[in-house]
Amino acid sequence: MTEKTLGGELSLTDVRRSYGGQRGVDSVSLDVRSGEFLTMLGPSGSGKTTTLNLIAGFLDTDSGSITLDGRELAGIPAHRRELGVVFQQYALFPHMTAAQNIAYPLRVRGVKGAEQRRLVAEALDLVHLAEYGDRTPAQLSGGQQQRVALARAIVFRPRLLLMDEPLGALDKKLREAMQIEITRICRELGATVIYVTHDQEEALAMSDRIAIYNAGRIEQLGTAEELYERPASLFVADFVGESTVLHGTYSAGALAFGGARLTAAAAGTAPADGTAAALVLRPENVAVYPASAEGDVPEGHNRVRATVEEWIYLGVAKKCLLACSDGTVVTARTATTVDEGPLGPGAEAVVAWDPEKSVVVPDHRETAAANQ
Amino acid sequence: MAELGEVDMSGATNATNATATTTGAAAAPARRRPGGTGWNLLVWPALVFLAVLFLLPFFQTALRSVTDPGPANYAIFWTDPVYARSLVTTFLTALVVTVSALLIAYPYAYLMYRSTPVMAGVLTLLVILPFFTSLLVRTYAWTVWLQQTGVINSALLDLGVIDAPLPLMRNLLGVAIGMTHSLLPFMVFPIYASMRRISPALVPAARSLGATGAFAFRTVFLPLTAPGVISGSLIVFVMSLGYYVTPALLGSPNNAMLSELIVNQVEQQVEFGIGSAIGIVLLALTLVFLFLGTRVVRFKDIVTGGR
Amino acid sequence: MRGKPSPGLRAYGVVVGTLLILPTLVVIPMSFSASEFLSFPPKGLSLVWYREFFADPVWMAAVGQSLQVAACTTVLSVVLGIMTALGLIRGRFRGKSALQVLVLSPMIMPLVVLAVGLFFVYSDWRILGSLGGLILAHTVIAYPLVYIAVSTSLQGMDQTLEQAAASLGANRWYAFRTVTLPLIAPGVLTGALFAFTTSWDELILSIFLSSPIVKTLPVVMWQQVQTELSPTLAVAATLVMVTTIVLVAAAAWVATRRKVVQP
Repeated sequence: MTEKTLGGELSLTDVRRSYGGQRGVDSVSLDVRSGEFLTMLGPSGSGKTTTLNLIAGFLDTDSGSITLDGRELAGIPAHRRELGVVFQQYALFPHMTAAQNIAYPLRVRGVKGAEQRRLVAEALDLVHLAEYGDRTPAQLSGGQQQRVALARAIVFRPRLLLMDEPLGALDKKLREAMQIEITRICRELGATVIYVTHDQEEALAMSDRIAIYNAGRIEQLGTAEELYERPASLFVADFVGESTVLHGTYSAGALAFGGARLTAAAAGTAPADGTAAALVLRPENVAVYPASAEGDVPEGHNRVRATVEEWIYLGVAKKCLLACSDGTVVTARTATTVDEGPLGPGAEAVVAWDPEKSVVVPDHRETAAANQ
Repeated sequence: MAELGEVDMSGATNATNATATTTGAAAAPARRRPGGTGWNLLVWPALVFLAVLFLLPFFQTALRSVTDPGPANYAIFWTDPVYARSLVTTFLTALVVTVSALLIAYPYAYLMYRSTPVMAGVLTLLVILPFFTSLLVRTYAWTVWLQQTGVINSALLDLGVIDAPLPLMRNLLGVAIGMTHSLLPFMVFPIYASMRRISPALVPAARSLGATGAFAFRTVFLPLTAPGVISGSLIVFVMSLGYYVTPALLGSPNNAMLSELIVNQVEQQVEFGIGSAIGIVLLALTLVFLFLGTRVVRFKDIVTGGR
Repeated sequence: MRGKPSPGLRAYGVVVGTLLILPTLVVIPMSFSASEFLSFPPKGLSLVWYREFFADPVWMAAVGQSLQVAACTTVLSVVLGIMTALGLIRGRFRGKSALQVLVLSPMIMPLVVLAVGLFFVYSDWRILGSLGGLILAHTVIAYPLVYIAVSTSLQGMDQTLEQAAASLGANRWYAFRTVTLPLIAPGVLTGALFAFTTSWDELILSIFLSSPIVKTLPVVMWQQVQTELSPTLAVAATLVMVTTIVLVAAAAWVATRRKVVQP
């Protein structure tokens, strides 16, 4: 679209900011590549918005460094950082029209007249609101306001785009449409985006990489697939997607659970021998066999005995909940065509899965609980 | 509003304290508080302004009261019965005004609460208009009604209801009428504000539990409006203590309020020391009642009527 | 649901409402009296006392000085009030609540005592009986009203709008002018109105701080109330009252219009 690109490179090194105990950021390091869409995902109060505010310059760091294209940002006030920010509640100026809102950063920079009009029209076009320039924010729907906010944040070609839960205020359907729209626009512009959300589906759908936040730290950084298939911690496994967690003791490359020894892949560092560990299972990787058909379980697969508790019909699939002897509930997801016949509630069953499709992680249940 | 909630009178008595702490904050590392430091500077002009034109005058008055010619100025309260009596008059007037304002304002505020928005707007306007018209004009207008040859007495005499004019002013009655009239908004608004915070479903809820209308009003509505009643009463009482124009025009010269004695000493007698001493007593009274008030209600709510 | 208020309660409202407004309005017919003495009901109607009022250099000087003092007080109060509101709401420092108490205090302290104190201070500074001294004194009691109105507006304003302006490249002053100020304008206007009427009606400080040459309209009225009771007093009272009511009505009108333009 224009010569100047939005593809800045951002780097955070050991950034800290205390905030009266909660909501702080504790040693965050992160490198964002040019043109990358990076999402910060985590529960509220985990420090993701604080990180965003530190990058934007709305808050100052206690220590550590934040650089944009190699330039240190500490000491540069927010208004000279050249970053586009999209706010949770849009933060459109209510006393200006959509076009005036978008023209605002141009006005600040002394871009006037025809050039200003051209850039505003271009930005309105980009967000498909060419006809709506004269409306005030109050006359626009939530989705339209969101687009104006986006247009305003990019019209002055900032080096980086920061978005703080931009879709939080929209209903589900519109949110999904806007997810596609935002990704399209950002790809088109080659923009580097830092996106904050607490909605994991949104994160999985939009991001190149995701940083999972917990208690002021990045718990894991990776692609959606990596986080889902190879969670490095119990927190990540629990936060991203649905999972069954089996708690046991790790020794000699396997987890002792009930009477069984379960093997699994390890995502990060394998738990030390003799320590508590947890095996994470995704419901779609779990198969359920009647106890009588245990022989059908493929060789090398993990297997655990359980009792069928209930079946839940989900439309696209069916979900089977099973209880192990120690009370742990295992969730399995099957096609709707599966015959429940021999596996009615109360039936003895065997759940089995490919060890390669499960992960074993250190068990920090106590600390995880304390952080909630 | 959270920060306003911490407002506490203990700070008002020691404003130099505010000066010192502001300096401390400005010296704090700027890195930690982006924005904060810049905004902090904006309070300095006000601080200097108030120090020079608000605190210094009170300080000067206090100084005069003990140096011109000496602390004996305060002895006037023991030696001259006029001044001791004036303390009683001031207190009594404030009390009468507060009670009558409360009795008039509560049903009025309740009517505002029960009215449609448009009607409530009209009722608000009726209370606010006198607030905007000059106190002097209002008080002067009351003399037209209340004096011996005034509208009320003339009418009653003409109708033969009375044989001699009633003493409607130059006494506590006149002062109470004039002051209640002008202080009524300060009573109505806090009470109305406290009523508006009550969920309209509460009284019906109480009634659905078997309470009669009167019982529900007394056990649910009335206790919930207590904060408004308290802050309204406090501001009316405290403001009454220092009233001058109304008692000067409608009150009895023989039963002067403290403020009248101050003006008399400073303007007519040119006794600056004694005038200052009375002034400091009045100020102290005001501060004591305000301080006691802030044990119950927030200072900001007293002053702003919970706006 | 709230039921309709009972007839008794409504009748009560009419009575109280009437008593709030009517007694004050008596000065208006009196100002049109043809008689030489203040009386009600007026004996005959005429504009003679208005002619008298506008021909009298004492009244005219007082009107002029009152307008000057009120205008300057308003400007000073607005500037000081906005600064204080911004500082107290956006700033972060210890002693904030104490400072807020200090700012609001002039509204509730006995004015007579403040007047006496200012009288002493002004005597020392030799500004007793000056317009500037009156303006400063009026500002002490007028500017807390601006502060309250503006801080209410500021608190109602979404602070991320200022962050948004900053992220778009606006420095703090530019953001204040283009975003904050337009959004708190109704509060500023209300505060300005309060400040103007406070100064316009102020009597006690003015009694102590004026001089035979520099005196505001209420001071002249006050002197007249105590000495001669000529109907020009009713004229002055009417004009003082009408000025205020016109200003309040204008402000209310502007406020409703703004609402229509910006839902």
